[in-house]
Amino acid sequence: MPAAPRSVLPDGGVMAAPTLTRVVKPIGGFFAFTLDTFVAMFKPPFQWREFIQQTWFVASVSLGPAILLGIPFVALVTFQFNLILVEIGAIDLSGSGSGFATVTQIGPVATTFIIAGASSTAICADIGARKIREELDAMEVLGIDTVQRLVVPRVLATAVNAFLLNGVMILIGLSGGFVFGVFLQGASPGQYVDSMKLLVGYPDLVHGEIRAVVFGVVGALIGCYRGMTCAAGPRGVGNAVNETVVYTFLALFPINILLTQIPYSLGIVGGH
Amino acid sequence: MAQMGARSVAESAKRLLTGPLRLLDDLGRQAEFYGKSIAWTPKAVKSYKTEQVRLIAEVGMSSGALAVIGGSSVITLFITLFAGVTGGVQTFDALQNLQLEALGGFASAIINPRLLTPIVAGAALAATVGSGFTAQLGAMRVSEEIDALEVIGVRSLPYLVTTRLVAGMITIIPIFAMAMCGAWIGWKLTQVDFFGLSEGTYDHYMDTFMQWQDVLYSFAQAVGIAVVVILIHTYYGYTASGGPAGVGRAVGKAVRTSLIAVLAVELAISMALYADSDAFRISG
Repeated sequence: MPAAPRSVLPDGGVMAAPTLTRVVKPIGGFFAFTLDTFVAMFKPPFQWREFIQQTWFVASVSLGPAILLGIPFVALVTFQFNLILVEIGAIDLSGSGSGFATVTQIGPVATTFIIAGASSTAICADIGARKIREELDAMEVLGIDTVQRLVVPRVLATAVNAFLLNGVMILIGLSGGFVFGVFLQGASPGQYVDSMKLLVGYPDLVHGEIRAVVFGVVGALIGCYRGMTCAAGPRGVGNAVNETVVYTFLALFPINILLTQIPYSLGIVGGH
Repeated sequence: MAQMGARSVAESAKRLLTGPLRLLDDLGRQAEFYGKSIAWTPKAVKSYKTEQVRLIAEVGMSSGALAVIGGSSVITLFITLFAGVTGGVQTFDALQNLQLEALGGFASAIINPRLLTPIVAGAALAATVGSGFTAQLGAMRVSEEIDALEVIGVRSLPYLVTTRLVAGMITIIPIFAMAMCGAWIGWKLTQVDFFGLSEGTYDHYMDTFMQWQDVLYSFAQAVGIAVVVILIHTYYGYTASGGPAGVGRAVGKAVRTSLIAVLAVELAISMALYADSDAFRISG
């Protein structure tokens, strides 16, 4: 473990400045990088080939984990919710619970897990490997804008995938809830389907999809940024991927609150 | 051309046929690794006390850039705090639709220990502690430090893997306690201070429906998650290959696998603990 660079002065007050710089500098760098990406997004030519390849790549690393993660996630929530309903004799309302939990929170939150755990890590590992092989420097030398060529297609590809993954999660949620509620905990199938729309509607679906797309964009940006700034050597790439997962989780939960609450406060969703 | 086509068909057929076998092979290797690392526990605890203490400190506080922002415990607290706020916002709105917003404390007492904290803290643990281990061990593997350990006569499995497993099982208890406090504080803050629910009403329903068994069960889930997460992450780190890029891929693969495993383990444990017909009581 190499020791962190320390100030040579024994004065404690001098130590604070480098620590502050270490926290603040990457944040500033990330925002500058985000702006660069959004500027480059509208600058022609758009990299269609890279975009399609990346969409396929992100889908291939995320779809399997999404399905495998979605089933226990939904089963866990439905199982606990149905225990309450059985106790108060309202198991036939099981569909409303599944519909509400899946469309409003489980879909977007499970998408967050997949974006942070699968997509961003794969993107960061890929970009980080290119960085330490000095491919990115080589591209810069050839006059190719790495943000436009590599980052923009990845960000958009992850956004598209997040949109689709949320749909997959909702589908798994509703059908998994059906299996659990009807076959294992004794709800009636007709009542399940009928009560599904009790607490949620079309605006909630759109609300969930918008959140999923925002998560996708933020997750991909963090993965690309951390990959492009990773240190050389084996520990460098490993740490970069590790920090990508942590930062993505740290960013996505606060964003989820803001995006959940603002439409409710404005009265766009809710109130059926 | 026809010959090449025939060969590639034969090759893909062979790949298809050996696919399940390779999967089985990989599962067998993983099972062997897990069994051995658990079996080494007494030896590791007895022989590597210094390394053990150092790892316990490292798991709680993290190292490198993550330590600057507070380490794994503070990160977990932060994530569950925000998850608690999200839960508070979402359930308040749903209950308001049914004119039942007074039951916010009830929802908090049930959802936090049974669902929210185990899921979110499990994911946070995999992200912070787990993938840190994969990065460390992977780096050690590709720079041949693990082979060097074996050469100087130190058994790498107990020294590197079992000590980390024990450290994880010890530190999960305080980390998880912080996570659960975070979820409850976030929930109450939202409903009482932001939405103006009466504090007495909230506390009354929370106290009425809170069961101490739930908290205990939740800790059982936490320990189960910690064991599974650390075993998976150390396996992928210990078997990393392909240079620095391979370490990055190993971390990604480990996170994907462990997130799935976290939820599967939680489902299994919570069905075992709660499937009993009187697991949930409205009164008495």
